[in-house]
Parts: sequence; C-alpha cells; structure tokens
Amino acid sequence: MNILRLIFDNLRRGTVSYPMPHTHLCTSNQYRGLIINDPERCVGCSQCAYVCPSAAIEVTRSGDNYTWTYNPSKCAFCGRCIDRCKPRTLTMKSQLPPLYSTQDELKQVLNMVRKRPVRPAAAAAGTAATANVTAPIAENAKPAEPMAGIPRKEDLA
Amino acid sequence: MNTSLWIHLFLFPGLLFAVPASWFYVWGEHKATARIQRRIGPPLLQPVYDLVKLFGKRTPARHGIEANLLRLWPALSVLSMVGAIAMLPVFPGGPGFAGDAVILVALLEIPSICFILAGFTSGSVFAQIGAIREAILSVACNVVFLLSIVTIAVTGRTFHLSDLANVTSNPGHWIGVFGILLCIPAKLRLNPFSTSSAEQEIYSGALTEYAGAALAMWKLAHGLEWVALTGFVATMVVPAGGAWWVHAILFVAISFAEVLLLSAVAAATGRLTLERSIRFYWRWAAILAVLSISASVYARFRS
Amino acid sequence: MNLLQRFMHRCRRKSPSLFHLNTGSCNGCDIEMLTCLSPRYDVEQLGIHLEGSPRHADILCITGPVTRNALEAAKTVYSQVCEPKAVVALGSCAGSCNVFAGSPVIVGPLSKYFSVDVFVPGCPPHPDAIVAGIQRAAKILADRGVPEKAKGVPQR
Repeated sequence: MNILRLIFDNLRRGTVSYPMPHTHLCTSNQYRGLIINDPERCVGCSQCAYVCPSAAIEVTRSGDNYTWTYNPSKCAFCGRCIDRCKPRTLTMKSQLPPLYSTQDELKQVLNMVRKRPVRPAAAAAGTAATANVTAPIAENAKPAEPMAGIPRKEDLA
Repeated sequence: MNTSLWIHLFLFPGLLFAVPASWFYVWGEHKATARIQRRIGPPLLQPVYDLVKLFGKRTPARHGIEANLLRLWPALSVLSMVGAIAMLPVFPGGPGFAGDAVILVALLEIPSICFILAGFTSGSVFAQIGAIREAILSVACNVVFLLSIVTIAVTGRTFHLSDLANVTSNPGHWIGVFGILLCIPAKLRLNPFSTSSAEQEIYSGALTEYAGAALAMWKLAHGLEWVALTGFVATMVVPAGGAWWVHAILFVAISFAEVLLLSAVAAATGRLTLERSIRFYWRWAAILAVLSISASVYARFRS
Repeated sequence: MNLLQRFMHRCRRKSPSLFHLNTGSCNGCDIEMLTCLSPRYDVEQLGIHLEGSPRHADILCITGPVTRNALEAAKTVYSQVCEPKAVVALGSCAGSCNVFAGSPVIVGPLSKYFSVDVFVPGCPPHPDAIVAGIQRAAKILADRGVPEKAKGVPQR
C-alpha cells in the first residue's frame, strides 16, 4: 500500500520540473564556468599554459609581445590555472560556455605586451610607487642584458 | 446494414474516431506516467508530431531483408485493429455489427502475431530476441484471455457481442472482465510485462530494423491496440439502457479511465523477467480455468 | 513553403528523437544527458525522447573522444540513422578530445570523421546546455528537410 500513498502524494504535490524553455540558467555562484583574463593585470608568466592539462590555454611569445589564447572547447574547467596564477589575474565566471557549430569558433585571443617591474632606483627617484608597480615598457626598447658568461641567442650560430 | 456498416467502420467507432482516440490515449498514458513521477510530460499533440515526423523520413534500401514483407506486418496490424474497433458493441441492440466474440478475439490477436513475424523477418539478432520473448509471453497471456472470454460467454449464455454487452449482473461476468484487464498489460507491452519490448535492453526488440513510414504504422497500430482493448473492456462494463449518446460518452470515459489505471500500474511497477511473467499468467490461468468451468457447470445445472 | 512543408517542419522540430552513442567517454557527459530525462529537467515536455535503435532516431548524440575501437561502430551507427539527421557532439571530449589529445588510442575529435552540426562544450556540459544544443539540432534538422526551392519563406 506504500506505492498507493506514494502515487497519491506525488499527484498532490505536483511537478518539480523546470518548465522549458526557460531563459534563466540554474547555476550556483560556485559553478565552474569560463576563464576570464584581465589584460591590464596579466604579466605573461605563462604558468597557466604550463599547468593546463588539456592545452586549452596557450601562450606564445615574440620579444615582449605575447599572445594568450584560450579555447573553451578544450577546457576541462578544472581550475588549475586559477590556482597557479600568482598575480590572481585569472578568474572563473559562473557562466556556461556557449554552443558552437564550427571547430575552434570559441577561441579567444588576447595580444598583450609584457609588463616589467620598475627598478627600485627609478622608483625612489621619480614616483612614490612601491616596488610592485609595473609599468609598460616603450615600443622600441632593447631587451634586457643576459647574465655574464651565458651566450646570447644572437651570438650563437 | 450497409450504411450502418460504413458508419461503424469509418466514423464511430471506426477509423475517424479510432485514430484521434489512439493519439489521445497514448498522450494520456505518457502524461499520467509523467505526473506520477512528478514531471510535466509531453504536450497534447505530441503523438501527432511523432507520427508525422516518421512519415517524413527517407529510409535507405537495404540488402538481405525483404522490404515489402516487412511493410506487410504493420499494415495487417492496423487493418485488423480498425476492424476490431469497428466491431465493438458500443451501441448494443442498436444498428451495427451483430458480431461474434470469436471474431473479435481473432482480430485482437493479429497484431501480436505480426509483431512476432516482424521480429523474425527482420534479420537482426535483437529483433529475434524480442520476437521470441513476445511469442512465449503471448502464449501464456492468451490462455488467460481466452478463458476470461469463455467465462463471460458461458455466464451470458451467448457469444454474441451485443448480448454480452448488456449482461452486467452476473459475478461470472465480472470475473471475466477482471481476467481481461489482467491480460491487457502483456498485450500492450506495458510494465510489469514489458519484457518483449524492453526499452534499451534489447535495442527496441522486434522493431529494431524498422524505420520511417513502417515504424509510423507500428506506432499507429500500438495506439489502436490501446483503443481496442480498453474499448472492449469498456463495452463489457457499461450498463444497459439509456440513450445512444450516453453510451458513447460512457464508452470513451471508461476507456480513458482504464488508460489512466494501466499507466499508474505501469509507472508503479518494474519490469518482470520472462520467467516470472509466464509464471504469473499460468497461475492466473489455472485459477480462471477452475472458475470458468465451475461457473459453466453451475449455470448449466441451475437453469 | 506550402502548408504541408510547414507542418512537416513543425513536426520535425517538435519531436526530436535521440540516439545516444558513447565512443569512449568517462560517462560524465552521459550521466548529464540522462539527467535531462529526470524529473528536474524533464525534456519530455519538449518532445525529446531516447530511442533504442539508431534507425528510429533523428539526432545522434555522440559523447567521448573517438577511440580506435569505437570508430567503425560510430561510422556504422551514423549510416543507420535515416535522413534527415543531425549530429550533436556532446562534451568537450567530442569537440576537441580535451585532455586526451595526442593519445595513441584516440583517433581524433568527431569533426574529423562526421559533419557535426552542434558542439556542446563543457566537462561535463550543463543539462540546460545539452537541451539547448538538442533544440538547435532539431531546428537544423527541420531546415535540412525542407527542399531547396521552398526555402526563403520565414517559418515560425
């Protein structure tokens, strides 16, 4: 007789389904969604690309310009990149990745320039900023000098 | 006899009533199952959409299977079911078929046989397994079905459907009606006796190789089986007397009530294995055999 | 489109039947797909139902990066689905092999062998995303069934 009571209770209590189609998505605040990168704060260390298990994040460099690529179709939403990111630049939005119809349609590409930390001498002389302030370097600046004893790439054959 | 024949065959309760009624009953089954499981369930026109969509599929030609033979089985099922529904004594004593219960039972049996033959001529292992299960189950279930018909006929002293529809005072009549209700889940392949069309367990069973218009005819035949079987029980249950439209309304109402009852039973139970299903039916067959024989002996010597 | 074609378009959009094929996935996407049938999401209200045989279905929902052993089976099942049909790649493994790219037993994402209509990304995808993907595939399938010369008339 338990089954009769169960059927009667189910009919009395009504449905628990979301009526479809619904427009609001039922995700919680902690839902693991798309990765967001802040171009202002990203320093180009490429640790996120190093630690990503599915190579969804790729960082390619040429000189001081680097390209940060994120492919949500490859992402496993594990959050390793966010754990590793030291400047706390990467964040996870609780938003579902959208549907797509062609391969690689969702790839996001960000072109950024590497920011260097300002040297302590210049900081003390000019601004009142702390040693952590980063300032973007000029377009035609020379790359930094390598350490003594190690040949530069241009000197090798 | 001619005009009433065509009215019965094509209007009510024939083709023009039976096909929309089949859509309504199939929708009722899905909606009742959904509501019992606290879901919303499909919209009202869903069986129509499913059927029409299947007619629009382009099926490729296949080797090794006789395509025309495959198309014959669902066509035969639909035709026999329309004939069975047209024969139902909805208006007993009024114009219509003066039909026999034996012919009705024969017509009601044809879709099951066609299902088995469809499974064997499909050339697929899964279809064979579905057909074997249906064959074994239908043997056990038909014994109970025929014994119930015999019980009703013996207590009503006749095999004519119109007279049987008027007899409602005998306890033997109600035992027979109960026996028919027991068989309907197996004939319609509902839980708990859905082992022959076990969804996903044997990849759609005997209908695995069907596609497109032939599959649409099978779905139509299944819907018409609902109308025929529930209608048969409804005609045996509706009391005699009253205007013709009262009979028609009661026929549809009692059929739909049976649809809801059977859906509730199907939603509440799980699928029994083949062995348990036939054990259930042979047990009831034995009980009904004893009851019907004693009822006939009692009726013979009472008069 | 004339009335019959419009009706057929509506029926195809309102009654998508799925066949679910697993080509080596971890079952996360399969579980999320079955969640859509559960009382919380209940896709039966949109007419979506799972079929037992590929010949009965219109939309093929494929999960998993295609493994070497599953490739032939996937091609066979694809050829058994009757026209008009649509293919949905469910999950990020089906879309791009996710973490398994480069493995010797994975022969590549689905788009290498089939023309996929809708990719549903996510690991696993949210049931809402799966339902949206199936509905988009049903619309593509219904548009595909309309003959070329009848197109150009906006349909509901």
